[in-house]
Amino acid sequence: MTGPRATSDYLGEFEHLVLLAVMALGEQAYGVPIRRLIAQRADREVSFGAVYSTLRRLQAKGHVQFSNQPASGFAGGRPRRVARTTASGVRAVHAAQRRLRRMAEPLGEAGS
Amino acid sequence: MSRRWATARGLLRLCGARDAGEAIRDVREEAIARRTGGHARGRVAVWVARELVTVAWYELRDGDMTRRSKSIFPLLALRLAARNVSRRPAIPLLAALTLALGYGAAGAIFGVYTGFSRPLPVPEGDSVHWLRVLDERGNPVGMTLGDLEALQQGTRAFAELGAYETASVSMRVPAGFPVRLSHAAMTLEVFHLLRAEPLVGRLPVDDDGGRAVLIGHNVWTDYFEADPAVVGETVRIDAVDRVIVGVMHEGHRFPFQQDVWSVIEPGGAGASLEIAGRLGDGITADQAIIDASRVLEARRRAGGETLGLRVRLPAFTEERGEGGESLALATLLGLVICLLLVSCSNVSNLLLGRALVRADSLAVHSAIGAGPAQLVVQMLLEAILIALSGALAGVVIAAGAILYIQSTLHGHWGYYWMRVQFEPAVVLFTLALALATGLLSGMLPALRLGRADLGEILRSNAAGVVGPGRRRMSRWLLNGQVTFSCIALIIAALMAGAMLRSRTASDFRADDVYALSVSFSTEGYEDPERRRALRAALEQSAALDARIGALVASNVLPGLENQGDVPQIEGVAIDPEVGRKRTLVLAVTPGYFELFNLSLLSGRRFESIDGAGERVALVSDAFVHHHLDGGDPIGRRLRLPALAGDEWIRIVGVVANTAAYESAESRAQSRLYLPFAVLEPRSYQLLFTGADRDAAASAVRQALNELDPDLGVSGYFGGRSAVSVEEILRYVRRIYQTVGVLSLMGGVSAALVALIGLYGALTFEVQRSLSEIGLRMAMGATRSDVLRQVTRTGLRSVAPGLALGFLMSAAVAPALGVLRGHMSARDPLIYVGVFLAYVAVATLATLGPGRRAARLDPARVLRSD
Repeated sequence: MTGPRATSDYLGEFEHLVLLAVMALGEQAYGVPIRRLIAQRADREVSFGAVYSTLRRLQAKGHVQFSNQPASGFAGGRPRRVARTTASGVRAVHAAQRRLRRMAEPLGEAGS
Repeated sequence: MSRRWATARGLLRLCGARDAGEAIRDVREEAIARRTGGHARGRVAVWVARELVTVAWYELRDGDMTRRSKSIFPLLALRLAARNVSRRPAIPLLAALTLALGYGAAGAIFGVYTGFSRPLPVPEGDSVHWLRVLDERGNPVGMTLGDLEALQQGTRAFAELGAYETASVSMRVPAGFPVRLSHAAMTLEVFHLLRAEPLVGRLPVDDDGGRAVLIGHNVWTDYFEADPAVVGETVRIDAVDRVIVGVMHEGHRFPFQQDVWSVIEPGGAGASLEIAGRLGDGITADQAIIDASRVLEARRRAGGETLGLRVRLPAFTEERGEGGESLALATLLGLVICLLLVSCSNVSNLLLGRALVRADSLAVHSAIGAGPAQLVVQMLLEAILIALSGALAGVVIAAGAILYIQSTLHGHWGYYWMRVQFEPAVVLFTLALALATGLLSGMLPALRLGRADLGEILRSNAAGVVGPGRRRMSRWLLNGQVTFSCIALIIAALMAGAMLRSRTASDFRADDVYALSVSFSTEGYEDPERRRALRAALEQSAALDARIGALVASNVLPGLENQGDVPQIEGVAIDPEVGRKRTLVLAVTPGYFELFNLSLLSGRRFESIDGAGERVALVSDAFVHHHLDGGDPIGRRLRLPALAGDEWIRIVGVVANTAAYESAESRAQSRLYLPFAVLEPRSYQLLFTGADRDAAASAVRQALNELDPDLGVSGYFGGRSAVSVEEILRYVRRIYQTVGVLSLMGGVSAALVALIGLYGALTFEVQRSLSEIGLRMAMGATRSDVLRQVTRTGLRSVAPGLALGFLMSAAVAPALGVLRGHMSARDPLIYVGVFLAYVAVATLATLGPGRRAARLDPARVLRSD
């Protein structure tokens, strides 16, 4: 693999978490749910600033795209900008997962 | 969306946040979830603040550099701002001028404030404190040497404590007649706690036995030709021989404006000492107050006194002066800063109005990729440019005002640490104020633009920024400003009028009547008989001296009378209105009326026998009109409860009114004259005439010197020279003028602020009703119709504020002590003048928006709708 390609495929730990959250949330992937999901599943309190910054970085790498979705309830019917994973994003997640599993193999069950 | 959230969004946009709206919605949603989840409101608020800061931080950190360099760091934007300001310079210039007046006034007041509240000019002067003891009613309690000793022994909080008292003394000097000087008797500790070092000679020591005296640098140069050999010489002070042991440095005038210092002799001090001290290491003022109160109260209880004491421990130079000048100055500074804040809001309106007028250029900017942040920065820079140019002019105004104050008071500051000068701190303060107000006035339109969608603004021509609620509010604000500025302008005009009218009147002689102050401090003169005998002898020798034209004595100078009383006249019920009007009371010797050319209207003048036996008085014509309705006063009796107790005084004559100032109020002031011998005060003014002033003054001094070689006299401004009554009145007048000029500056500034507000509001109004105007023009309205309509709208919108301002001014102005009777508080000329000026300038302010409206092309306006 070439250098730049490796860089754009490579996911930092937080990028990895955010991308997973976006994948899990589907049509509801915007600031609040992403933040909540990370808090629930990864047990980690993160700031909105960090989430937006990461989403923008993922967008620049081509892993997520934004689209306007009509939101209901609280947002008062105004369109919500939600994130959606791209094919490249899905590939990047799988690659990262594989890397993690390989790294964890020597640890056996504990690592999986 | 509430205003707070909208503001937060504006701020985020300012930081370059592209998704500010999203971020705000997210944070808000989460905040509401937390609140419903039972989190405390305060904790949620803290969380929200932290989140917003983080979002802003990430935006600033990650934002595209080219984007940021355009929006935040803006050489380009600065140039653009400068170009915008210079393209239509009239209004920015007016705004800069308004701000300049505000900054100038604030800078000058700041200069005076810092000049008045300097620390004591000794090493570590700010740690020298003044132990101020008050009784339960807040009256000062004099300290004794016993108190000082008790404090020195019984307290641990003070590292050093000393006591001093001040007095005016007569000193014989090598050449010429004795002079009057300010003297301080101090304990030795005071010299040490001041870290005082003499320029020549040494400090007094215990062995000097109280005979040692230190002289000030001014005394040394004025009367001893700065001769170092003065140390060891004997001088007579208040008829006691003392030895000069040293000369103090030029800057030493402790405690107030002293010329000579000696050591308090044990048993020689009175009961009116003041105590000064330095605190021990690590001791706070509060601890020291508790410590000192404990000791002093124990002493009072031991002496059988039950009244409680209140101890205060201000820095030595604080809490001086009766009127709390520092407080007054701080209040004034606060008012000016309030005024500046209002003007900021107006300047911001103005900028927003200008931005809307430039909608086309904004649209172009926006089309080529400028976001709200860039436009916001643009506006911020324009505001700062205006503020800074205002600040530069403001610094010049402040410098001028301070130099004017300096020249007015020419060194008569009262306390020696006071020194008002134009200094770097004034420049820094003015610039900092300009930067802060510039930022503020730039931020307000920025935040409003941040709230509204730019496209929306451009489409709707201001309606997007100014909803009906906001318009109503800004109308209230505008009217509030008009009211406030109207009051300020009327009061300023009244003060300026009073200042102009405070020219000395020509109805009494003042320019060739000279004054010298006499004060009896030497032992033996406690007896009024002795003072009377000396004065009688002086009058006799003056009568024989050809150099002196006439010589009289008076307890006060004409025009500067301040002692007064409300007389109770026999057989006249006290009218509550008249009763409130004080009569000025003067004690004068028989020749007084002839000296000042005051004609006798009825009865007789004083004779030398008056003062013994039955009490008599002369009254002024105004007195007869005020208290007796013009009836015959001769033979009527009255009492002066405050000054002369229950004793009856018979009126024996009526003299013409005197007025020190050219105003009806000054002329209508009633006066009552008592024979000098009734009061025979311990200090008074000798008033005399003579073909040659110096010869006459010298003759008076010589005559006094022959009667008592230890008695010194001084001129009104200290020193040897006698000054004319006219010069003294002119000096007092200049103080009024200073106050007048400063308040006029404030008033004009307030009026300009309101007019800028009017201009901004009208710009909005015109912008909002473009289509209406276009329609009218399409239906045949001429340009002058449109101009008239806008002018009418403008004037109508300030009318309520103006009316309220006039009513409130008429209610408030009579309470102004500063007019001092030179001016009627409801002078119709002033009110009409201010009204006309206001209407004229308001009309001018409406012309800009009006002309813009009149230039509209109706076809274009209607098409764009």
